Amino acid sequence: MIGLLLALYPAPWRRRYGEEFRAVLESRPLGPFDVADVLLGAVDARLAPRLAEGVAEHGGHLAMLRIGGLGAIIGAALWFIGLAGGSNAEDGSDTVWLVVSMLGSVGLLLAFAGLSGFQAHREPRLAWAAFGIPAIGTVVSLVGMAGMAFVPDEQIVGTWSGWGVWVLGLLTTLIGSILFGVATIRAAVFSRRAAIALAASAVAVILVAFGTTGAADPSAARILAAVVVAAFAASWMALGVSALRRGPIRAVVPA
Amino acid sequence: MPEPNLELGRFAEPSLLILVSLSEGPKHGYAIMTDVEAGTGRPLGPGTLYAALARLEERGLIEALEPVDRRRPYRLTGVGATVLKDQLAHLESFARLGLLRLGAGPG
Repeated sequence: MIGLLLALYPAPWRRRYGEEFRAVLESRPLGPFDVADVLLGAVDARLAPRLAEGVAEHGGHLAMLRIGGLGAIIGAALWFIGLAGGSNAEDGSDTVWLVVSMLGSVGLLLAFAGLSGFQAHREPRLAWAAFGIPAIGTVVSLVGMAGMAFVPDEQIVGTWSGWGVWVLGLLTTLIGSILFGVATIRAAVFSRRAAIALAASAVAVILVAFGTTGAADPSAARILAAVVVAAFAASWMALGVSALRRGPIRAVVPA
Repeated sequence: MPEPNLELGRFAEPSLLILVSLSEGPKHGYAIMTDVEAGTGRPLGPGTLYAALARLEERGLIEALEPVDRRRPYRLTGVGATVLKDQLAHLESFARLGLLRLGAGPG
């Protein structure tokens, strides 16, 4: 009986809701009211095909999550490797590291877009603000890095050198990451711990960057900077892992 | 007149009942059904339940969580909570108006 009733629903609907719907139908004896209600539900599902297209919508969400999650993991790793390599490179030999860092920034840009898009339905305004600010910062820092890599001794925007533009972009990205962390905590879609770590490490990077300028012990300042930057990158990677783990929760993969 | 229909046609009322049920925490389909029935004293059929759930999910007012033993819990999204609050406030002011008129009427 239950199998027959289920068969009246369109296939995409059954793929999305079939199993849980069957569990509901099996939870109690079906009376005439229930049977009539299910029949009407089947007619409704066939008359409202867009509900069946929910599967495609979920597929879109899943793609967004994967892009965002992978962007966060790979992007943060490359960004940190590029930054660490570049800071230890001899003068004039840091172009490769800058390019690695640029690729990482592109990954982080994808992370901002994918993860914000996914959590925007819970905290729309905050999520889009948390996307816009770091995204602009990342693009600006990309321009700065390109300037440092290819025209290192020239001013690329007004009187600003590539390094100056990169610092401005990085600062904006860090401020945006704090906002992104807050949005993620509020949306409760991804790991809150990773979101708290992201916001806290972004604050720490800013404080260390300003606090250690002209420090008496440059090597200690470098170690401290490396630790907070690594924590920032690790937080992004943790958010990425959390996003990829979340995938199957919402994902409804067509049979 | 209130406009509690969420643009959900004949599924407006069951949708509102589902949102209220989910406002105390995530529930799977059967738990929603029994909760609504206990709260209103009226049956909520499984066909109506899932037609409304599909619409609410499509509009981003609820979201599905990971299934547990074939039962998939649903929870309110932030948008869903806001919409529910607006709908209930609207209904409350309409009810207050109705009660006021009844009280002020010829009786």
